[in-house]
Amino acid sequence: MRIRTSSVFVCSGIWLLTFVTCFGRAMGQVPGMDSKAAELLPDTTIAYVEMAPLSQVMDHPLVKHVMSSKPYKTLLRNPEVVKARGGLTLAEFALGDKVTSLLAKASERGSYLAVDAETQGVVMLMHAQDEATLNDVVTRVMNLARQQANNGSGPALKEGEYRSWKYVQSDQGVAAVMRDWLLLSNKAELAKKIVDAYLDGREANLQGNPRFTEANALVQNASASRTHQGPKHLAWAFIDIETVRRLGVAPQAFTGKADNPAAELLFGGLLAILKQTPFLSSEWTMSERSFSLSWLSPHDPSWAGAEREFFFGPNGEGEAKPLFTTSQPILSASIYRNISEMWLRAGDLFNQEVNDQISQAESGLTTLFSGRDFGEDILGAIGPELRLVVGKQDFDDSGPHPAVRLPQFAIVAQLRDPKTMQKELRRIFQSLIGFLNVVGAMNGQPPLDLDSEKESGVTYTMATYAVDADASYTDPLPIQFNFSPCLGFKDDMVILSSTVGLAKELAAADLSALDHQQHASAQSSGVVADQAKKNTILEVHSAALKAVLLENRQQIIAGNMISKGQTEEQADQEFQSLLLIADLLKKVAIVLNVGSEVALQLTVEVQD
Amino acid sequence: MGSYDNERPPQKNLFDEIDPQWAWSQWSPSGDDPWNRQRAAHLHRRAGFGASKADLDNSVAKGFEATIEQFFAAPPENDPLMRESEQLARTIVAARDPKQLASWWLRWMRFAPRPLIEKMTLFWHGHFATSADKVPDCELMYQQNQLLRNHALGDFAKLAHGIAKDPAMLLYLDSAYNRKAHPNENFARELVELFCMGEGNYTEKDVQELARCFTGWEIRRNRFRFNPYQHDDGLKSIFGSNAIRSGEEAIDLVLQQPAVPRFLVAKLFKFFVADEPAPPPELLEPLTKRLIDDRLNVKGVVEQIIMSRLMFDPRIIGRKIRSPIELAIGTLKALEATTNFRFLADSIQLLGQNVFYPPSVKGWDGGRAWINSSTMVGRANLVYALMQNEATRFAGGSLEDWARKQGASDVASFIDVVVSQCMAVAPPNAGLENILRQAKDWRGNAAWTKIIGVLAALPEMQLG
Repeated sequence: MRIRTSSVFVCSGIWLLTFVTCFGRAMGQVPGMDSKAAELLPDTTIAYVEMAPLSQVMDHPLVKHVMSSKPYKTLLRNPEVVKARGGLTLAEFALGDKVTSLLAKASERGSYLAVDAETQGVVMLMHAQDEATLNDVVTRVMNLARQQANNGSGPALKEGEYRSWKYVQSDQGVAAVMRDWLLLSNKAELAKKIVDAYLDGREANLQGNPRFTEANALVQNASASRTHQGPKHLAWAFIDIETVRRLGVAPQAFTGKADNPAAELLFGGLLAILKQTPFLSSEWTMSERSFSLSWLSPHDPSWAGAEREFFFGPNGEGEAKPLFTTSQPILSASIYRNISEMWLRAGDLFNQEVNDQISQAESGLTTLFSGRDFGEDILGAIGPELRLVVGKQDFDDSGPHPAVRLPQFAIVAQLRDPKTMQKELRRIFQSLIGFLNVVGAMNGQPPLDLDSEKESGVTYTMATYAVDADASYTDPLPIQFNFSPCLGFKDDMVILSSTVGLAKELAAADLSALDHQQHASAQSSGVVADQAKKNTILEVHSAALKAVLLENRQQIIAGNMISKGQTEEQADQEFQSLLLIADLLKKVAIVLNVGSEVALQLTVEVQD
Repeated sequence: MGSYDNERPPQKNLFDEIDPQWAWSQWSPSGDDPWNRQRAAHLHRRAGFGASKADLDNSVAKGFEATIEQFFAAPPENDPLMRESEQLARTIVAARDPKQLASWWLRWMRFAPRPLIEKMTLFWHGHFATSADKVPDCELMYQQNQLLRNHALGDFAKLAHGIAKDPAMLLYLDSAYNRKAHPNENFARELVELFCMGEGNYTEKDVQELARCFTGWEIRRNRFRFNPYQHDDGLKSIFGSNAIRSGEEAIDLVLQQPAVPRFLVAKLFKFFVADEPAPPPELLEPLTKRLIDDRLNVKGVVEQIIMSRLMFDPRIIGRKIRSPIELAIGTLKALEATTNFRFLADSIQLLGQNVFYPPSVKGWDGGRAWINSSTMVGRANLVYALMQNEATRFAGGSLEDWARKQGASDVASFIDVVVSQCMAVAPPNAGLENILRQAKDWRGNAAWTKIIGVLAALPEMQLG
């Protein structure tokens, strides 16, 4: 029997975690020596993340690209960052190595994070290449931690023994080295369980949880389907939703009725899945210029029930239309949501308070829409495929400008009965403009001029604010001058836009080309099977967003000075940081695919 | 049998026994009554909105007269803070939201290098009250605010003439169209009753004749315009004079009335010295004479009040009830704090002092009107909420960092720091010991926040 020296260490300010270590125990072959992390973790584990070695992440072309980019380098010059890096440099001097290098050595065979329901503890396991490497890392960190504990700049260390293993403990958590495994936990009880499993073996472990196996398989399948065209994942995660539900964690998410109609519209279907699915799995991938985070779940169309058919469509086959975009896009979204059905099923979906509010709103809206039932007649006239477009708008340089320059936006939908509804909606639009003029006049607001025109088979009804030479509206103009509301009809398509220009741009779009793009995009995503339908698509583009931010620079800085009590210099610095993010990122996309599985994928593209 | 009140001996008016000559002669520090941090804090509270410990130490080091000089000095030219604030105001005006303008002004009260000018601007805002509820035009409200600021410590006659042609004021008093066939009496009435003389110093006939003088005064495209076709050009008989034709002549005549300086001095006394009791006219006589001698230029009178023996008399310290703005801005200044001024404007509104939105043409009553069972709780909650607000920073850091810099290492020393920085008079020891007992185990930032919240509920915190 060999005497092995394990180390226990405590980490202070420089580390996020504080360690307790076990050392000095006679140890030969133990059951846990060749175990996987999931075999060491208890079967009461409700969340698990498995990460690739840090070195693999740090050496990834995307990470290298970001770290060599101008915005990142500018960010490093930010005084707050410089201050933080100064502290880090001092620590690294004491450690004799870079923190990232030490972390990479400690996690050369992967790292794992888990949440245990029984102890309500969090544990991190790092698997080093070998025992000697890990001991070297631990010794360096321990020396610094002891030094900091002694001079009072780090947490106090407390030593003890567990199963003849010595350990050191701080008030923030525990850590142990088990040969080539490093264990960190905020709960000593959970750390003991894992040490026990390592020494004695454990029958009831996470690896034996069938939901864990299924989740792993789901991720592996998704990864395998991408092999020829996309990267392998750098991390994957599992959440045991069935156990979480059983334990009564966040009961509002799994039971009860919604209290927020907007959240129900956007995420109601996902809540329905959370109420039924046994687990969620997730994977994180990186390519040369993007990273993606996907959440996957098994799916059965019956889970949504009749009340959430508005979200997924009949038999879960509702599909969003291709995205519309503009010349200077900020946000494009396309969703499948039968709003009329949601409105009419409000009694099943929402709590009493929301239903009371909906009843009140319905009464007012019915009056506004000339006695027509809002839910059935007005919303019912619109198909479930809805598209939203937000883009930067250009202002005529020769005339006065609004002080706050807002983006333009439009909603595009299909009419179920275009012949009847076009006339009806036009009349409602005109009434609404008249109503706005009456209310506006009472508040000293400028009036809207109504007009209409027909161009290339598209009819437009529009209202514009005119800069009257005789009026008192001088540069800068009130915020209303961002709007020239317009209602356009093209075949069965209706466009409701905040500006005439955007309505015309959308009406001129080549729909068949958009369909082709969507088909190509669906084939390349590779997260779920090809027959899956895109239920929700959303894209945010940074270039036009940055332009809008710059146009409103003074207003944003003023807002920060008022709401954060900042000086102009501080507010400007914060604004510059915002621009840096826009400089670094190119596009953010969210796609919800629905088929035999459900996959919610977030992709962030960085600038070249 | 008389009522309970009738049976009580009549209360003595504190000011009855004070010699006017003594009261308004200049206070000079002496060995018995030195210029120290307490005296400096009193001066900063009355002539401004309060000060940090560093500012007080600076004032003490500089001396009494140099500190007073600084309060009355003209705003520095090209001051970066002022430029920054003006730019901020212009941006907010462009966005056309008067509520944001209130946030801007509160921010400026906190940071203005000449707090007396802002304090006087606030005084005139209550005096020439105009509400954005009725005049939602941000630019006009800002324009009026600048008019008040420009004349804050200047010639009242110029200010009165300016306000008579101020678009926001005339719109507020429904005087945007004043035609000779139907003279609008609103402005004429407020000119004599609320702006210049006070009730009992004019007749209804005077008001009617004054109103005729202002016919043809109009607001067009947000600018004052004199419309000669709508002006009643006949001679008017006002205060016994029969030679008045124009609005300008009418204002000059009003300003010549002896009630005007008396009326202004009484208001300034209440604003700077004591909410109550009302002083006897003899006590105010030297100030009235000074205002007449200065041809209604208020700077000299304000200076005389602020530098006076009466101002530094122990009976006057803590004799005013702080308005919600004085409480909030004073606390922020004392703690070297900055915060979310939008939140502050909204919170102060709930306590009845919404700048740019005075409750009526009479402005704010002030004094005891600030305090009732609901506002007492509200005021403590306001201070506590300010301390908790995530945007609030104390000298750029957390409250815990600030306390450490002030040398407060435990609850007792922290209470000492807050009491000496934020209160005009110290609370009774028993009250503080009670807080100390409750808070003995409190630690960290949350504890300091809570302690300030508890102290803010004490009556002494409400005094200025």
